[in-house]
Amino acid sequence: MKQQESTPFDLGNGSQSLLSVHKVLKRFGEKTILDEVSFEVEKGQVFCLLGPSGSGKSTLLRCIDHLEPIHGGEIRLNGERLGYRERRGKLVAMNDREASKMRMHIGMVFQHFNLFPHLTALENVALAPRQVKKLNKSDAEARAQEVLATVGLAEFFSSFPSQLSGGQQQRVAIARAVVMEPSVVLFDEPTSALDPELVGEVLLAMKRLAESGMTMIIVSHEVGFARDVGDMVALMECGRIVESGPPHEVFGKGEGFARTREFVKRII
Amino acid sequence: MGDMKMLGQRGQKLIESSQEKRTHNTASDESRKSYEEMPVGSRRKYGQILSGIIATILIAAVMVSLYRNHYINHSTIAHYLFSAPILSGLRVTIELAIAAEVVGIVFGIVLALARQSHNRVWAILSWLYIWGFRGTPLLVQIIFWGNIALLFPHLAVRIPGTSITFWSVHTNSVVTPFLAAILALGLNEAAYQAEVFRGGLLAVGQGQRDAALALGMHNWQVNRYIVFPQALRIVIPPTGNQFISLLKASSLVSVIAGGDLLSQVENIYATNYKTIELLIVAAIWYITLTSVTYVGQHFLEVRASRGAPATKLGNPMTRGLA
Ligand SMILES: Nc1ncnc2c1ncn2[C@@H]1O[C@H](COP(=O)(O)OP(=O)(O)O)[C@@H](O)[C@H]1O
Ligand SMILES: [Mg+2]
Repeated sequence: MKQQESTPFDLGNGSQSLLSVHKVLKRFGEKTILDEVSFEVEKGQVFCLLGPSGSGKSTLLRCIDHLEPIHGGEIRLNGERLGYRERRGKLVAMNDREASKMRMHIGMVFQHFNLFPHLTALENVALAPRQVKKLNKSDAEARAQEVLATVGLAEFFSSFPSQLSGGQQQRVAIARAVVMEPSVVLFDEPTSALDPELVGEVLLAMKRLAESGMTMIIVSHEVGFARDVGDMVALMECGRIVESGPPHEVFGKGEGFARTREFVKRII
Repeated sequence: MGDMKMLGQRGQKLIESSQEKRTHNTASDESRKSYEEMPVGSRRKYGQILSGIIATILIAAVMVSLYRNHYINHSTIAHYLFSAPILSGLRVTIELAIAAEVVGIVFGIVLALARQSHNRVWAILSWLYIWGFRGTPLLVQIIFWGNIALLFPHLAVRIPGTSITFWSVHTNSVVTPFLAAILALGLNEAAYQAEVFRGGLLAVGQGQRDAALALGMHNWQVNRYIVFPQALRIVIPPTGNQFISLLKASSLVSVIAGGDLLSQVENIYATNYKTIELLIVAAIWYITLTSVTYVGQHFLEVRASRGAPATKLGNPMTRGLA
């Protein structure tokens, strides 16, 4: 966390989008992983990100949640800059407290679920409402039960992650993110670690969430899902967003989406 | 956000679909059961039976030889096993081991956290400490603490550069052999425990920390609710191991007349020359203490295994043999 001061950040861009990613630059050592990535997500939109392995999709999501520092550009949620504060004309990384307050508003669902193995499904979901939102125990548990029921897990409150199928675990993980009532939920390949027969239940839970009006950014190779549920589809290659547009154009007759169609042909 | 309320009605469908899944599961459970009920023949383990017989004969032979040995006086062993000086030494050994382990655990946690701190100074100091204490023999450290008065004859609180002294004592009156023993064993133990804890912390994957951070927890909450409970499960077996080593290593403090079990035994056989009998008395007590530790460790492991996939922890005494 040393290079963050006095880097060429673009100051101020008056956007009204819920989430605006503007010329974000990210390096690992000498290697540029995100090369001036820009896009906007409106409230209630589902933004689907496609792209080959290693193109920087996970890194982009991790940068949005400030799990990785960025080296240029800016990310704003509801107009507020994420991860960095201006101090005397310079940008400095947020401290632990500021960053955690910011992350409350961003949910994240991981490829490998990352459930807490020592906690039951209910405890996994109730932990953050209790400890971060400071709800009392019974309120936190009531909220957790409510949300777990909406993803079809009403009978699994006291199951530990090791006792659940992959699809059930991922639904717990979705509930764990959603219970915090975030402004946006980021999904990093939520179904690619699942057995094929378990993919459907997770996609269904995500579809319900989208229909409820949640803003979502989804990295996934489920093209059918992107077509049905997505409002925007973008293709990422080598750290850049090379094509983006609404799914009916991208997968339909729209001009200028040759690379996306080529990519889709390769993965199906 | 009111969004989730809308989800509530639609969630019904999902619940139904998951019930279908369960019925499906039961069906496959039944087909599996009929498979398991098929008789399966087991192979005779001739090798194991043969080696069992040989081992039993050998062990019995050694026992009989020891029992018949005229140089071992059994009534002496029985006489000293519960004698006052032995029991007092036993108490000192237990107190020493527990006190040193507490020092080792508390200080070890500090060292492990310092070691992985972003603050380079802490990380280097911790590394130096571990390097120094693991790199020198425990016996040297014990003798050093026992003779600390040679280095600092007085302990004093005073303002440097003046003659104003608030408090001063002879080091030997404060650092008794017992305290020197706790310091030596505890500070040494801390270096080893620090490595145990560091391993435990490293074993909790970055994915767990990421997930907790993404929920809006700050660093301390991540440690408190996610990392430490999982690390605890991992560090219990090696910590039990450390404690067993410490119980036995505490016998080294007999070199500074620490008053422990072995010191008492040595004192007694120095006058009555029943060396072997008294060493057997000591051995009986040490093996009793380590056995109790096995059992304690087993119960800690069971308690900390919350959420772990079902494993057979088995009988605490014979687990390593399975
Ligand atoms: N922690 C890291 N250190 C160094 N390089 C990394 C790290 N994480 C990812 N990378 C590199 O960044 C690139 C993009 O990775 P990633 O964002 O995981 O791609 P994707 O999710 O699109 O498959 C890859 O070349 C990967 O090797
Ligand atoms: Mg990825």
